[in-house]
Amino acid sequence: MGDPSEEIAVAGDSQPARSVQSGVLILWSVLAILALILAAGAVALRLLAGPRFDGLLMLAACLSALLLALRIPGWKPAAQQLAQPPQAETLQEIPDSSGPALVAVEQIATLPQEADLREPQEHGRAEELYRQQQTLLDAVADGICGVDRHGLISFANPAVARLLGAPAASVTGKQVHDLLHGNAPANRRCGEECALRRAVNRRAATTGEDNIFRVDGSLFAAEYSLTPILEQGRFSGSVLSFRDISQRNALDRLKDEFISTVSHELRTPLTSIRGALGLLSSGILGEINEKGANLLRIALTNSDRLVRLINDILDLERIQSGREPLTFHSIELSDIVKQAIGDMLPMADAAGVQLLHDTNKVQIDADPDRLLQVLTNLLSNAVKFSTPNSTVSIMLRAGVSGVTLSVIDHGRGIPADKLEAVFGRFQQVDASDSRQKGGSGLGLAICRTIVLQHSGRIWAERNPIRGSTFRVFLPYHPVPLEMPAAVPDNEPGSGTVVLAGASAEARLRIAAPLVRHGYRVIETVDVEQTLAAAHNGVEAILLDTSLDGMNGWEILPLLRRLDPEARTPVVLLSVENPQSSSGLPGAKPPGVAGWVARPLNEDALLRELTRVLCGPGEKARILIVEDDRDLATVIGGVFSRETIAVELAFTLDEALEKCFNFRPHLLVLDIGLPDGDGFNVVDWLRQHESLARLPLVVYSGRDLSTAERRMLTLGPTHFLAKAKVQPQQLEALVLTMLRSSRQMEEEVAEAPISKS
Amino acid sequence: MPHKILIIDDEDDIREVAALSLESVAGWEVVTANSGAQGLARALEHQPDAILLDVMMPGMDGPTTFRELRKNPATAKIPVLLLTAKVQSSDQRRFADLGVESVLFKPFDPMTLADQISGVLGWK
Repeated sequence: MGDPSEEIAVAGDSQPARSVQSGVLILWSVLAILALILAAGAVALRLLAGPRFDGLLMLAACLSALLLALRIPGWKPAAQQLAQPPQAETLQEIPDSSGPALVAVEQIATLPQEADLREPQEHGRAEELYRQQQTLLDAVADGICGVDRHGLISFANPAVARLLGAPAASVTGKQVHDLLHGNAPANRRCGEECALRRAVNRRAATTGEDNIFRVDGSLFAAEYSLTPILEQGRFSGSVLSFRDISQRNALDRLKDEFISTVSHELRTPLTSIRGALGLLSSGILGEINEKGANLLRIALTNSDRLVRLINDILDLERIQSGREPLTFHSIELSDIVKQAIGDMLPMADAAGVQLLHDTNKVQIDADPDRLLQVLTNLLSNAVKFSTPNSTVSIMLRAGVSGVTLSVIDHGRGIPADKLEAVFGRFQQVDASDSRQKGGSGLGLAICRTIVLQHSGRIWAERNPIRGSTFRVFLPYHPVPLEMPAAVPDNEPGSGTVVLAGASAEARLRIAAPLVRHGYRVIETVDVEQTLAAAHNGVEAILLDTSLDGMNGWEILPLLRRLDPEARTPVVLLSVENPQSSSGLPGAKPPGVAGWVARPLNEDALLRELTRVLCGPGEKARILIVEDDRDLATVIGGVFSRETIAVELAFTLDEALEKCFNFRPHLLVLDIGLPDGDGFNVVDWLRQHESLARLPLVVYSGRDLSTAERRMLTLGPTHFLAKAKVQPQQLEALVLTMLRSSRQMEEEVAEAPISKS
Repeated sequence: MPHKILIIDDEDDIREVAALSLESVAGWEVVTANSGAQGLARALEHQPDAILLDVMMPGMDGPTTFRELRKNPATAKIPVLLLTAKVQSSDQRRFADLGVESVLFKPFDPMTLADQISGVLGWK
């Protein structure tokens, strides 16, 4: 008879085998209990009746030991269960291997029960999902490990062994820190302050960068992410993922070198130009007639402008890329102000402008050089736009959390509608005469970047009578921002959903699976927050029907007022079918796009969300063009649900034929096909007007050059490197593109159609 | 007695403009060299009051030339100013460690170049 623990471990066996399993389990349970009773009896007999029953005692002891030894090591099924991280929420209690015999018996008794309760279909589906996840985990290029609560690796995907140069079997059972840093040569061993070690011990979600050592002692730069798994609030292990970022680091270094080289190469010829023009223009080499002098002045001014532009571009790029990190010190702000005024004095005097400052003293944490750059910039602008005999003042006002610095001028002022725009790149208030002032258009953009990196704010105001005031708020103790610190682009449709009014428990059940599937979740706890969060760019709102103080139904009309065209679908999370509670048989309540019943089923939630996001009416159609049949099936499986129809094409011919007949809304294209390549498909598509703007996801085994990307672009096109993308990313990306393309279709449909 | 300056730079145009600037604006005497090697020879021969040294040169670059100048006792005392288009702070840190008198940036203002040099070296 095989090892019962192995038989139990295989999830998703077919029904007949499973009932045999259950039978076996029950048999073993009974035998184990019998053995205990026998053992207890034998001990009692021995005690009462003497040595005659030694044999019986020995037999009973052996039998019990045998049975329990076969049953207690539940580590195999436990490890395999840990290997399914996405189902962490439904992990069963893992038998503790050091528990007493009675505990083990209890758990033997409970296991068959849970197995029996499952539907056969669900079991088959679970097996299917398991296989899909295995395939995906195998395909992913990042190393992914399951770590148990003791910090030991319980599971590792093939990438882990590959990245570490280790035999696959040697990875499991090791301590996490030992796995990653254990093979460091003697002179590179880390100590107590090792960030990775601390991250592992802290059991908190961490990401970081560190060196990882391969088995042979060589190292590579890596980015890692450690996520704890909580089971009903208790820590039960973590998931560690890491990737090799040596290439990314190399690219960064190349970029830095490029910037440095470009800077130098541009400046060198400018030096000669500037020098020659300066000398000529001064007249020191001989008189020049008036027209000639004017031309020289123009040439000189513009070459100066070019120099400033180069400086500013490189500055902005450098600061924004985070390559030049700020160094914060505790500084006296008024000192910086005085220094800036000192630097600007020559320019101010030449312009006939007086520079004033107040006597307030404020200490803050800041990077003094960068702040000086900001102040100098603001002063320079103020002086440039001031008239002769006017003043420019700098004032400091200490507040509760920080200081507000104001630079006040009495010049021409900024139109009210441009107060925000001036901070954009290459923005000038009034193009014509600002250019005369020699601005590069980047000064304020640089100021804003620096201020943001100080966790501050910078803005402009119109003065009541004349001129402008630029205000900078700086907190006393800035929280360091993550680079890059530039104002992030607003990505509409990036898969953001608002989850309103969920209890903490519900949030775990709803938000966590959503996040795992690539959605970004904004959680709100009351009506005000929900209304505030429901702005453009949110894909859907998940609404609990009972939000503090207000019934979910009452919120709906408020949301509709914000969003009269109902662009953002609302999904109600409710206890029962909302149709019955609204009293309307059959019809969905107005304003509600979907609903999910409680108790919440993760799949139902995702199905509903996808259905709602993919638009009403017909199913979305995706064509996947991939010659690796297994991979194609897996990718297809990720998307197949009742709202999406998926077709697969394995060769170029098939792809072309299906493009025409199946008319997909979106194409997932593998670049290297056996009888041609993705480029041919795209070329062909481009020639057909109805297909020329098709959204594409290009999935390639290698990085594509910019030229190649251009050749592969039809409509909205995204490029993904095969095996470097998480399945959730692919899914989220495609769903987003489907939704966007639907919106586009609707807009296009309103325009006059020339061809059907 | 006008100051004598040695300008070492591989770019012909920059040599010419810088020389013209120092000669016509400040009335100084200028000697030039188009490489680190030639610069060493000229420094030895002419014993200038100061050397204006470019950083990016083929063959012997600025820092290497500077170290060679310091190695030779006959040229070790001549003050050296770097004149460079390498303006990033990572470069600046490298230069500071060298031990040059100062670093001047390209492009420069030809009308004030002599003043800048005088300022650094404490000349009238």
